Amino acid sequence: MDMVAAIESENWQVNGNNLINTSVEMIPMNNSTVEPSACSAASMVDSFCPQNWDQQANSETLSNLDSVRANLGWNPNQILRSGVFLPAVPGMIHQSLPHFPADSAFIERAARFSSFSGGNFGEMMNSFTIPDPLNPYSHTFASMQGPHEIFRDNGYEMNLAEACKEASFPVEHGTEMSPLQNEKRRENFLRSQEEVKNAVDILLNESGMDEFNNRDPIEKFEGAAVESSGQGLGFKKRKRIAQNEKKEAPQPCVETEKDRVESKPKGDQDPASSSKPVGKQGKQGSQGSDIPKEEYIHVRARRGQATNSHSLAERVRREKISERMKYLQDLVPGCSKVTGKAVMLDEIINYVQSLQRQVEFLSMKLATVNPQLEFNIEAFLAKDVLQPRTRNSSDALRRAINLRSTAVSEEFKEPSSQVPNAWEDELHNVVQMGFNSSPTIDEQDLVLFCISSNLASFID
Amino acid sequence: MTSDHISSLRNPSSIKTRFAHRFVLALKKLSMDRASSSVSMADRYKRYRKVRAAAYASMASSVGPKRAWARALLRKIRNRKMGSNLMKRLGSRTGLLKKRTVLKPRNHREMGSEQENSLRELVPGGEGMEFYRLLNETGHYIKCLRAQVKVMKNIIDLYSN
Repeated sequence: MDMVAAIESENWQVNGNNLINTSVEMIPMNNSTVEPSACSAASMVDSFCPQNWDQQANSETLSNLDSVRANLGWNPNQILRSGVFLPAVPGMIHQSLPHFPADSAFIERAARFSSFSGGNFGEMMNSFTIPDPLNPYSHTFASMQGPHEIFRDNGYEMNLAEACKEASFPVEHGTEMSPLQNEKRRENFLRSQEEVKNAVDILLNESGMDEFNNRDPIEKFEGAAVESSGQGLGFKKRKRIAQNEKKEAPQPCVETEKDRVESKPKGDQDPASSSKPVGKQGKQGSQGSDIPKEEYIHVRARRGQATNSHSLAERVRREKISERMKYLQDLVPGCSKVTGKAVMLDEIINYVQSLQRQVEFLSMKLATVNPQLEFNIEAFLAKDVLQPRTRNSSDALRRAINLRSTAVSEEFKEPSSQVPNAWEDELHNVVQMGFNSSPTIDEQDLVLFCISSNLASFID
Repeated sequence: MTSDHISSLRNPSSIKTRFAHRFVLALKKLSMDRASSSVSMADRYKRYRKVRAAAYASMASSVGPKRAWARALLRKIRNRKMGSNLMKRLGSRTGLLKKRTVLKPRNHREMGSEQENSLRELVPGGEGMEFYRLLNETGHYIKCLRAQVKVMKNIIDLYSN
């Protein structure tokens, strides 16, 4: 149950709106009754707020879009959330709170209906207590490993319907979902829409919101589902951040539902600023949703490309890999001009090999130097080993030694000309440093032996 | 370079400082254990191997268990050490040295390109990873190797002058 609390605590990233945070407190209390008053919630907020501040930092960076919907911070890590919609307007909290206890049984039934989406839900449903209606969701979400959003709702009934619809998504979320899995989930979602329809019907009937057209949202739902499944053009890759991030298609209809429902109890709530936190990018940006961090990658086929799930997964994988290659390109010196995966990989391999050889050479050097000098740790640490020493005197000495040993160093210069890389010079510095310390003849032989063997294998 | 220095100063527990501390301690231990400096090549080679193992071990332990390559490196060193000990004492009994074969690397190796496989061999622990994770580990490994080289260079400089 700590998870729930922890999950809840991260939803503090409503942009400085503490009052909204107070509403969050209702949910996570494991078996406590929901307290309608904001004052009591505030005290709970304080207890939760100090926790997980780091997540706050994370999610704050994510909340780019200014959303009147007061999206709660999404936990980029794998923390689970219960589903509650946050009212956009702080004043709404007070109105929404009284709904909680009254609709507990209602919610429970709704929660049960959500079990269609996966076995998890069904198992979890039974163990939840009524006074904490949203716990079932948090529980199931806790069982999953992916980060999920927390639904905040000013219309509690609507929340349930929303949650039911969204239940199918979070059930299958994992920390690392492949796009293949996402596709399957989408199909599941589409399939589950039938059941959602039933759930919505029952919910709406029980709530007595007759004016709410039971058919309409469901039709829109189905239509949207068909649209989403059939549409193959212009989709872009999209990362799903929060649980209640809806599919593009159903979102409009859900929002309209929400608007209608919310407008009824809330009255003067601005539908555009509905509290539904949606983490959608691009197309849905107009709706002012936040961009919470994504818990899995929701990929769509690009225009004119194959919509095969395998190819989609392949494309995602390729893009991830190319992104990594760019990062490595910055890391390896002298690779900015290199393009192409194969050449880049070659460069990386060469670089790693040269670094490893440098380590070997240096350790060999240390092994030879060691017995001659006493190891004085205090002196070492005092001199700050990390700092590269000024080499004015040593450079002159090195140059003098180099003149004597040019014959030896010639053979090392040769391979470098063949592979004129930037970091080759570094290896040469190391080599020259070996000569700098004027080792004995035996040591020199050892040095040469090691170096030549290393370089020889390097050239291959 | 200066930025590295500044960053290391700012962060007293950076990888560089941790590695430097551990490595110097390990070297001191090695120098104390060692007998009087022997001139033979074999002894020198052994010493070199020990110093190199100490360098890698101190680097891997200062990185921590979060990185797969660090764990694999430590495992390798331990196995090698155990193996040499066992060979000395028990002769032929090397049952403990069973190679940790994982099924996963076989699949990845078959699917990978030639360069990918050579990269896997280079990076410790790279056998059992997917390509994407391998690239991640390679990036971190490169950073740590660079730091290691710098620190060792400085140690040698301090010693030789």
